[in-house]
Amino acid sequence: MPMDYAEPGADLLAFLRARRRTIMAWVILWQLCRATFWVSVAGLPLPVLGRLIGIDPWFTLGVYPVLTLVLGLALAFTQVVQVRQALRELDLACDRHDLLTSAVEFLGAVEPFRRLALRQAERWLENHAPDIRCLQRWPRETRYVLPGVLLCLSVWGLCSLHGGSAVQAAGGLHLLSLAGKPGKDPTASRPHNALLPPVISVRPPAAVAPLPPTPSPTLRDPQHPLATDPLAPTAFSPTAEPEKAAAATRDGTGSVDGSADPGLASTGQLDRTAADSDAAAGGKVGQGAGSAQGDQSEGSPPVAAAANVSPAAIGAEAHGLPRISDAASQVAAPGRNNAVPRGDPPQDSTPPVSDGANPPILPSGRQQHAGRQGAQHSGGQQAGGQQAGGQQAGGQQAGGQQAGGQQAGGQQPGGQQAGGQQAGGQQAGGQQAGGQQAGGQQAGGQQAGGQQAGGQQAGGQQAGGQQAGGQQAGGQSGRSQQPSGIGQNGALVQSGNGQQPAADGLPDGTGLGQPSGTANSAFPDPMALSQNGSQANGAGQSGNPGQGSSPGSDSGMAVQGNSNANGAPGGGRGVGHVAGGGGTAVNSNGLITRIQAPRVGQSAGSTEVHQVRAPQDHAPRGTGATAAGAYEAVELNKDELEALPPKRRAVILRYFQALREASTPSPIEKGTEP
Amino acid sequence: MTTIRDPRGTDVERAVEAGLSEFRNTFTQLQTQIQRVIVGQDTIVHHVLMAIFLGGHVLLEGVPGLGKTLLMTTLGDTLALQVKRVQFTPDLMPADILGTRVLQQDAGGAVKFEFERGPVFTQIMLADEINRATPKTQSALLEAMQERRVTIAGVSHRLPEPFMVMATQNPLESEGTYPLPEAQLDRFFFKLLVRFPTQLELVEIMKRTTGNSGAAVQPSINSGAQIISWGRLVRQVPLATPILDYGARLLLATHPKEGPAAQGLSKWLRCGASPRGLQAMVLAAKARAVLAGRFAVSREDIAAVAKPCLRHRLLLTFEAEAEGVRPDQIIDQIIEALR
Repeated sequence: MPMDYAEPGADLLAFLRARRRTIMAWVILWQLCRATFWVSVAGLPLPVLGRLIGIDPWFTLGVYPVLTLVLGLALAFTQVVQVRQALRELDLACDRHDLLTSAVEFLGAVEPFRRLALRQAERWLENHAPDIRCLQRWPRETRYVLPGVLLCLSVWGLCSLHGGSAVQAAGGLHLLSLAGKPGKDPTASRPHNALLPPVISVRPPAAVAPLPPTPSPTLRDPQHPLATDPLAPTAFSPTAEPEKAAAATRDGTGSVDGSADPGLASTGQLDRTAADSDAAAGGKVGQGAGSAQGDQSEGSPPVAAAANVSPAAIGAEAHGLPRISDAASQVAAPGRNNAVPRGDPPQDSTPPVSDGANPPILPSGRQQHAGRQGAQHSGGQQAGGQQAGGQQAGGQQAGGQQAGGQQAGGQQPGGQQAGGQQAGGQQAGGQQAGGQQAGGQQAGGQQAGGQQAGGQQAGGQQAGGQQAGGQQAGGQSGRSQQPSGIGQNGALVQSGNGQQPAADGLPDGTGLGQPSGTANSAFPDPMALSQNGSQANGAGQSGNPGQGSSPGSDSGMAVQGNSNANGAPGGGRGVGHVAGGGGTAVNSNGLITRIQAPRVGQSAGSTEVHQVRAPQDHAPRGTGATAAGAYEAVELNKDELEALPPKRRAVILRYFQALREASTPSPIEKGTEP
Repeated sequence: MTTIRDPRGTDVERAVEAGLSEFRNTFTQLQTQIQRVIVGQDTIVHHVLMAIFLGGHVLLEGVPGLGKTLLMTTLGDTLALQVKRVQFTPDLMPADILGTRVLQQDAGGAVKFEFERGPVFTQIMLADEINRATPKTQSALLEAMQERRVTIAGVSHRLPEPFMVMATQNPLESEGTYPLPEAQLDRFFFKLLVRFPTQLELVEIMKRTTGNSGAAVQPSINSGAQIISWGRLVRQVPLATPILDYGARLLLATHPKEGPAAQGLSKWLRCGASPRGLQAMVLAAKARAVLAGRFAVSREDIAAVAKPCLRHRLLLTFEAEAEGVRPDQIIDQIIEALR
């Protein structure tokens, strides 16, 4: 293409000058950014220094832009781009950059080749000059400019605004106040100071929401009268309380060692031979409950039905067992968790029991007392029926009520029984039921003798322990949470798991039991439902410890084992369970009976499942009452209470007293304590 | 815009532009003529022609049968230049190449020594398998290649112009060969690697060479003087200082100790290229720029001719040879490092 042979170089120079101006603008901007950052960083101490020497904060603030501008321009001055250097700042491809570079170098040359090169470069510029951009060489500090400025302003704000007022308020130096004039209040020109008065904020006393009354609110209070439990494990040693042991022996079938426990468990009331009881129980109970039994696996009649079934329908009643459900209802009625019988135990024998309408108070996830539970359930009733295995006992308790006595124990001849299970009761919903049992059973066995010790508890405690396992309702396996009897049932209960009895858990529970077998039934609990009567013979053997001893604790569901009829110490351990209805019972033979837990709302009382805290935690201490006792007490009516041995009765009464004390709102709850 | 005209300067510019344009056209024409005979090997042809115009020598490396001799003869026919071929063997003596003095008796019976010119006295000399000759024989070409003259018995004899040595060597056969000394290697303007033809090229070669009629080429240049004039024209292409700086940095980067060799390359390099290598690069870059229609050389031109100009000037270490590192790889890394 023919070239225009006009004097070359002019267009190139014009282009370079235009680009140089653009580049210099960018350079100034870049350097201002850099200067802003460094001034921000280097100027951080400035507000502090200004505060110390009393410089006006606004003056300090004004210094920053000035310093930034000066520094930025100074930096830009050091990087002035000459016309011939403008190409370095242009975004060009390598070959094009070399073309222009050569052209710039050839500016003013007279050599033909150089002039040709220059012309060629200008021709290219004519077509591509608008597309050429400047290189963006933002300094690294650019990304930190904003944080730096914010940091600087923050420091200035903290030091100048707050500090400034403080300094001036203290009469500090005010050397360079821009706004200040002699005689003028320096703060007058700074309204911001007025907005930020140095106030020492005092948080108003927060309203303390009253805690829900609990039966044992003072457990954590060492000063509280209930803080210590005279029936705690340590107090249970037979040697420590020989009297209780003796009483237990008397109350029971009279046998201390290995004697069956006429009381709860194997009490004579329900006695039958083991064989009979098994068979009968299985049949009767199951039928009575309206559920098909006979087969454990099947088991479980709808809870509602079970709940509604009067104890009479249960095998237990047939044996003259006290109406546990009634007792439970009495306790429950007052109320919810807190419902604790005062003074005289409720006399009403009608079983309003736990109806679904009166949900248990126990919040799930927490363990509560049997007493409370009692209310909740109602029904423990069913229990036995369900158990296919026949053994079953009592389910009564359904809700925590059950306290030990109620049920169970009886069955087992050998003390297996125990029953403490009750758990169920606690469970409120009975849903879980199952779990508990397990424990219960053990209880019997284990405890048997030993535990008893205390007489009362014994059974109960164990029960508890055992139960524990049982409780696992959820399949957790049972471990006995409370070894010492304290734990009774209640504690064990777990909720949750609910609905289905945790069959799995049982085995564990049982495992806990002790072979000892000799149960003493300290307190033959009339309430025990024991079924099968196996106990009968059991007497001498291990009775149901559980029951015996801790009547309430174990509660009742009795279940029992079967086999050992005569009690061999340590013999079988049956487990039974029921808890509010559902549950799994394991008898000594290893049979597992599942009782389906009622669903929520289906049956009174049995419907809800609640977790019950371990008795240790809730049992009022210092009153001589144990958790087991509490359970028991709640379940008893007046007649039953009076029927108890004096010591046992005393324990229960003390428990009630403790509950009354505990129900009184503490100063903290009243919000009077600062 | 300033419209001041310099009639004289403008005329020169026009003349230069016309000359360069003619050069490009001739070059393209020559290349087309040669490619009528030589199938493929476009790069080889391009660089060989470039070397001729720039007065350089070419070392072709490739296995036998790739058409190296054919290329040489075709080149001679196309450029209308005299061509001679010498097969280098171990027993070849320098006199066999340069010539020797022989005793001759004239008509009067007088006896005197007369210089009998060797095959080196030609415009294009093909030194076939140059690495099979002894170093003594190989060194006989040193003066001829660089000084373009031959001195025998104290008498210097100029070689015809243009003069070009096109040597070949077989990279596979190493037995009975004598590697070329660095001094002689440095005198080659380009070292070109003749690649094996592709399938399509092989088919085309068979079509052209297995028939009765061979492709005939027509001379595109009347005389060697025109080649020389164009070569001088190309040498006038200016280079900006930044471009020369780039070339110098590239050359220095090939030196393991003296120059800023690219990271990690020092262990491969025993010795870098000589200034003659930079000369070759610059000249070749100028020719490339002119052939591309540009009046100024760019860094890309330098980089594009770096390999043929430097690959035979780099002495690799034993480790590099043992590990199979090739000079081209090193040059690529240097170029990348300088980019």
